[in-house]
Amino acid sequence: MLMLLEMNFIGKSLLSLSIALLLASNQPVARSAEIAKTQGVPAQLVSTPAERESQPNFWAFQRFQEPAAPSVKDRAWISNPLDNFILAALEAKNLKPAKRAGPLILLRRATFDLTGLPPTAREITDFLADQSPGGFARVVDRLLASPQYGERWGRHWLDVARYADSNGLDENVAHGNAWRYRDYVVASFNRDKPFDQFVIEQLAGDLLPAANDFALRQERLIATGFLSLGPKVLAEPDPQKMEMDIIDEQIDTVGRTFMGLTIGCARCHDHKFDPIPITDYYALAGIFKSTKTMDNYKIVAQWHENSLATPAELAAKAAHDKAVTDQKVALTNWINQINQRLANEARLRVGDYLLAATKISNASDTNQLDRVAMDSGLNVAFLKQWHQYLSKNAAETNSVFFGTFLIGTANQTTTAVSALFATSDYSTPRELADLYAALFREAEQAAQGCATNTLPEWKLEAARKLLADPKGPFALPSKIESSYSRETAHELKRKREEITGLEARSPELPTTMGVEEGDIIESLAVHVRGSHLSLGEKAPKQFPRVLGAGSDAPIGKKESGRLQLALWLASPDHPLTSRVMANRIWRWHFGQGLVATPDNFGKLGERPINQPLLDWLATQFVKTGWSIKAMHKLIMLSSTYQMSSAPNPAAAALDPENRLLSRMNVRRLEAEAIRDAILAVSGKLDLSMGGKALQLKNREFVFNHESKDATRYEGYRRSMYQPIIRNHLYDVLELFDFPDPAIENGDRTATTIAPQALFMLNSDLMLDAAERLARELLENGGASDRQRIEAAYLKCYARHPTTAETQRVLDYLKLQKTTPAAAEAPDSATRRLRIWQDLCQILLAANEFVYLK
Amino acid sequence: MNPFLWTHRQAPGREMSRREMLRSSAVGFGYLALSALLAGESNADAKLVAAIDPLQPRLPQAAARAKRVIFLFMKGGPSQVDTFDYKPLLQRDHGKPLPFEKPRVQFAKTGNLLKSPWQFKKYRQSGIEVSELFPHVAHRVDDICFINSVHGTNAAHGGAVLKLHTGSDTFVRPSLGSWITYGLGTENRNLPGFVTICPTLAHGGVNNWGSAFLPAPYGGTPIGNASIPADQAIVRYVKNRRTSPDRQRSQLDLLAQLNREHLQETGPNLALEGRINSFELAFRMQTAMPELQDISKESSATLKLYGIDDKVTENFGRQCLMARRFAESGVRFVQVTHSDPYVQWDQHSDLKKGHEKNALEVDRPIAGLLTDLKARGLLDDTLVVWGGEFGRTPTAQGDNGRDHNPEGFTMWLAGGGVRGGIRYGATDDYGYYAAKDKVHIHDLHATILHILGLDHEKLTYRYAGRDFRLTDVHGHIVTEILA
Repeated sequence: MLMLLEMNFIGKSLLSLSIALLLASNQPVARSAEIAKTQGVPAQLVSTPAERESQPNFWAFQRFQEPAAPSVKDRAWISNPLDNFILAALEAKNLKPAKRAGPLILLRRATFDLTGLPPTAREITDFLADQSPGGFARVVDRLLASPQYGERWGRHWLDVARYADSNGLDENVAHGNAWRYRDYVVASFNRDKPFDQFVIEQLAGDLLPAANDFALRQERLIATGFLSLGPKVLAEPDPQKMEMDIIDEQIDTVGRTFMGLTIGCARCHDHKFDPIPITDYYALAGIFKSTKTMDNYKIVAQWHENSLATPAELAAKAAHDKAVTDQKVALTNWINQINQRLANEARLRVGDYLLAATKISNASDTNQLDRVAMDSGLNVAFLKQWHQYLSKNAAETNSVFFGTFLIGTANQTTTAVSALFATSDYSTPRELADLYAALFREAEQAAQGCATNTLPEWKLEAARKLLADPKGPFALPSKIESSYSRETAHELKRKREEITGLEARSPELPTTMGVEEGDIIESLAVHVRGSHLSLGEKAPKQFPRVLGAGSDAPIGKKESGRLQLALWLASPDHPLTSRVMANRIWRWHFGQGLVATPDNFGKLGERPINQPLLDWLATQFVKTGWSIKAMHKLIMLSSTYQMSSAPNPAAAALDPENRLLSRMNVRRLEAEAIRDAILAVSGKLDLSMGGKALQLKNREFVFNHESKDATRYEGYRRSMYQPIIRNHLYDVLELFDFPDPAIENGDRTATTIAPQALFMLNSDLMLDAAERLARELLENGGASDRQRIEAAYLKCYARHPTTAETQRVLDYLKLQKTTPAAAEAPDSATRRLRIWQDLCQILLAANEFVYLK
Repeated sequence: MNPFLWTHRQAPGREMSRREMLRSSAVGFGYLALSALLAGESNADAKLVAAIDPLQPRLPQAAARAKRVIFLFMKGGPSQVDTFDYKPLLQRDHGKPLPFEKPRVQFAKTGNLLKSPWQFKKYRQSGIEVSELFPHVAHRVDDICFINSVHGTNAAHGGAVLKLHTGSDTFVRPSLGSWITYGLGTENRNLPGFVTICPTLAHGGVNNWGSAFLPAPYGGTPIGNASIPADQAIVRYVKNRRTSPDRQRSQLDLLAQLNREHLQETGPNLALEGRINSFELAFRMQTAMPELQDISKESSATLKLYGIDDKVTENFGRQCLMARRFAESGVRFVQVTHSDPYVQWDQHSDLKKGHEKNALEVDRPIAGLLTDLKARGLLDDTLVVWGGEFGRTPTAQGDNGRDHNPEGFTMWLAGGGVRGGIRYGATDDYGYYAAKDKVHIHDLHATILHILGLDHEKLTYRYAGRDFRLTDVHGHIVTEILA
């Protein structure tokens, strides 16, 4: 059967030397050799389970202690112990650290680093005015306290959490409530929520006691959105496979996010490089199998959402629902009353209906029906019903109307009639009709006085039966409403609309993507080769054994184990959690992690360039109560962070990738920072925070079959509040290397492609911004071109232009005045604006604008 | 060793400076230096290439039968038994139950056998049967290799479309076109290497032409999308209605000055240099792309050949003609998507009406494309691929429809060193399951790469600690169909 699981395959031609060296033994056991054979991997390159078990010495799996700061020669350079680690490594290679960066370079660096925004003119002036010791520390404090900090660093975390406002994959439906998780992350960073707590909330927030603190309870439910945000194949026809695929995505994301481990690789077989046997995978999978992520696995499947409604909201909703129900009941009663009245009236006029019915020649002719009804003052729905009944039954021998009132004939002399009526004292249809009317009246009265509900006299009983026949001529016609009077019909419509309106105003109870404990708590068996159709040994729930979890993880029989998993990950002595996060923070400050593969600390990841520093940082992280803001201060107040990025030929020769950090890296801004900065310097950035980004309803399709894009990227809010649509990202974000939001990614790239240049040259966003900036400079940038150039450089680059730079721009302006293009401008003001607009666009497009020194 | 067996530790982007110091000039663009560097170690070189000149044309790993691909994607799943896989027993046993079991996983319930409402006829020398849905393509059968035994793994559109385009219906993976562009670069330096014309945004959308973890330059460049008529589809940001080209030229000259000065301060930096280049490439692309899309200078005979003279075939005809023009200009991988705004080829009901409409729209343009490529000598080194994400069941859904069927369906290849006028593989007597010489989607991918001179087991990319390839751990080359 279907076996579409991704294998953890390593192309045989590609095993790097380092991997080969890591694989200690050349003597694989049989099972490993078998895997190797089936997957085309040279067997000697695959480590055996025994080897992996015997390799707990691999650095990442070991517990660690705070290393002592190494001693250095140049002690004057040291600002805090972090610098000791960096400087010692440089000195070991006879390298010198770069000089301290100039104050404005530092200000721009720190401002973008912590807020993703350029410094304002005011901030530049303030900082230049405060060159006392501690001036930069005050800048860092100010930036850390600004709400934009949480947006910037929250967005980093959202990369890791593969945050998106739509499912992506096969059925791209809207994550209508994902924004709550996004706002939760921003708030958590702004409040400097201890990272251990942050971890626990995202994995098991629903299981934490919140006592009566409703807001806290909500927050923690929202946090578990982390587990639910992954892309899901919602139209997978095999529900079991869908469930295991979703669990796989969760395991993979949790493993990479918190531990930098590719546990997902062990779905089909033991991990080829890291000591994670397939049983560990299914031990974890049991935890997520016992967790409710989905409400169902239909096509299209529905993910679970937890209710966030407050008691007041619930009460309001209940009250509203009751009001709707009450109105509906009232309406039904009202209709019943009217119908009862109409039915009673119809019963009183049996004779009239019998006579009128014979006049109908064509029941589908509504005009004729209406006319006859109106002429006789009868109800048209009952009339039609009488007509239909007679058409069908007047020829039936067992009918009381047998042979009479045949439609169109009103034949009156039949045996049935003689049997019914003792008299033959009738000579007109009218008289016969009156006899029938009298019979039904009598039967009705008799039935009311009769206890047994069956009348002894056959004639009366036949009439009674007809009176009670739900398909008979006396029953309420199904389309009775169409026969209502104009006033009644109008009133009915009004009442119905009132109810519809009321229902539409029903308060929507807030829900949030997230998980809760599953209905069934279970352990899984190993899925041989990843297939749920071939099960192997049982894998009781527990955590990866190589990380010291042992086999006695205390997961109760009635618990999924998520809380235990979260607590285990967040424990201070977990060998990976603190180091992985410390490394992420470092990566987001320096553009390169101490472990250059922040999402993979396993054997196929990079080794730390400076493990003592990483271990020291991780220790500080835990010591400060897992405070991320404390880490920022530690890092940013170091001499290391404050180095210039000026090139150093000696260092470049020895350490071309600047792994040792002999200078600051030159870094390109991320997509969000580029767009935000363009909007900021052109005076349009809207700093309002949070809230829903999508215009779509929850679970609505982002695209229909017509490929029409329903998502709008409008307004001037920060880029992180633009909808993140999987499979179809906002193009500005996509162009500048926004990572695929379907996959955990803590290490964005910065590519250089021609479409980025097309955007810079031709997009409305750029052209509009350039025009705004030009207008602003022309209006408020000073009295001379020289002053305006000065103002432009401050805005765009947070620095003053050199004399040569000013002169170059002046020359450009002068030259542009004489071009044929300039001559086309209708007037000198337009010409000047165009020239300045073109200049501003280039200032925004230049490398200096999108790169940080 | 061949320098193109790339292994990346990481997508490029941050400063790559290992070789930078070897160069004295801080502003040299490095194109020339690059080819020299490429003779060295592959790993770092790939990073260099990707950073400074990702689309540089590269020689394939082995002898190539074709240099480029045109993929004609029929969104929705055309029915094999109504087009290119004639089943006499299906006609005979109409209304009877399928005499064997249906698959364990089905998309929807189907009933008894439903015969094809179309007649089949043998065509040309090879005498291959084609239904009346494709009268024009039928006359090209001698150039076509029909693979009647293709099978996939997913019965839903989303998964199947992704599987066909990326080899995975479970994870986000690079598209076939991205792998090929990664392997071979592009032959025209003013154009992207991978272009997709009017692609569908549903069922995987961008992932179907995305580069995933491969560096961004290898992603497909969309020209419009399925909701936009072909004559209005353009590459985004390629037009500027406000700034004239000579004003832009002055801007770019100033920009180059600013950027070079900035580079002096930062020291040699490939990303910064690459960015300087990218503006010049963009400037050239602004002219090149609209020129290529402008078909006004094509002869009326050509327009007629592609059906552009007829409202019904005009839209797809334009796409096919554009595809030829891109292919001719050196674009490596061109995808053309037929995805009508209603239900595409997805005839769960109204098979007759729906398939007739779809086939009518594409038949003439496709035949025209094949004829035109051949006349220009391009068919020899261009591989044309035709197919949908799956086929349809020979059993009836409702009384006049067919359900999704990934178990056995037909795709065809033409040109590019493929044997024309043959049928390869077969489904069972009723056309439900691939039965003989089965060709999985992975096998198709392996074969396409092979035709381009790329080894599907060696064309890999290291990401998150793993070396990934298009075919994952699967894929067999179907050597029998090669010329």
